[in-house]
Amino acid sequence: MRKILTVDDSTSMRQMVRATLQSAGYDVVEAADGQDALEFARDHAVDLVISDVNMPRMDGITLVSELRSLPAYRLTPLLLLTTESSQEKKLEGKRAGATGWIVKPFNPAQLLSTLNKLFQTA
Amino acid sequence: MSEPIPLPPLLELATAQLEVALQNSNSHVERLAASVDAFSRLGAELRAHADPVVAEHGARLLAEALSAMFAMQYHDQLAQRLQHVRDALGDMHDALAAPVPPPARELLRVIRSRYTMQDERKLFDVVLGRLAAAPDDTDAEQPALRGSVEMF
Repeated sequence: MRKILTVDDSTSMRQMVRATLQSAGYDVVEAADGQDALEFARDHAVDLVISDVNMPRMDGITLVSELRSLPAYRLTPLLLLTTESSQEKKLEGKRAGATGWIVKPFNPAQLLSTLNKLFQTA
Repeated sequence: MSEPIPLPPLLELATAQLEVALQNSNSHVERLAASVDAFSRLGAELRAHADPVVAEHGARLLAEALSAMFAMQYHDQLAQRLQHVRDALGDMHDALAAPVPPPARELLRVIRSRYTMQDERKLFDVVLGRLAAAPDDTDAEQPALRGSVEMF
């Protein structure tokens, strides 16, 4: 079973992402901010990360950058899921090493379809 | 002569009222999300049932739960917008209470920089654009981005 790490400081958003992913059979682990996520990722392997951008302690773009510096996460798909729509931020995410950018609110079916494609090409 | 309007405490009160409203609403939405989550899990379980009628009901239950989740995300956007308003009121309070207030343009720049949504920036520019000398960056944002997926 593929394991996905979801990162968001909003409990309700984490619940919604988790429910969507579990409905498709994914194993889901959660973190409340980038720092928590990074600490988890250092000790545990996951197949994909979905992270919010604006969070306390460590934002999603810094998290992507930090994960890319870990050998185990060099090729792992890292998606940013955010209300942020500015081109500047998106470019920052891309430069940090994000695989894709999803603007909230996410469409559950579209998110699952995106993951399917990513795992097929992985 | 009438008493001056006590702006700093009024701004502090507005900030506190928004904070309480956000906390109350978040706790209820989390409860609601937990229920929708439970429905979606039940739907996913029933969808795999051997009886095709039960499986069909399960699939419909799951589809409805996912649809509810999509709609509930608008609460997250509302909460973010209210947080930005709360923070802006806090900035105004601090500016008014400071012995030397910051320049108005700096205050407006800080308030605008917190926005994450295109329509927040657009509304700010419509109302305060000339005062703030805000960067003309909203046109660079594509319309109707919500829900979009862009792979790099």
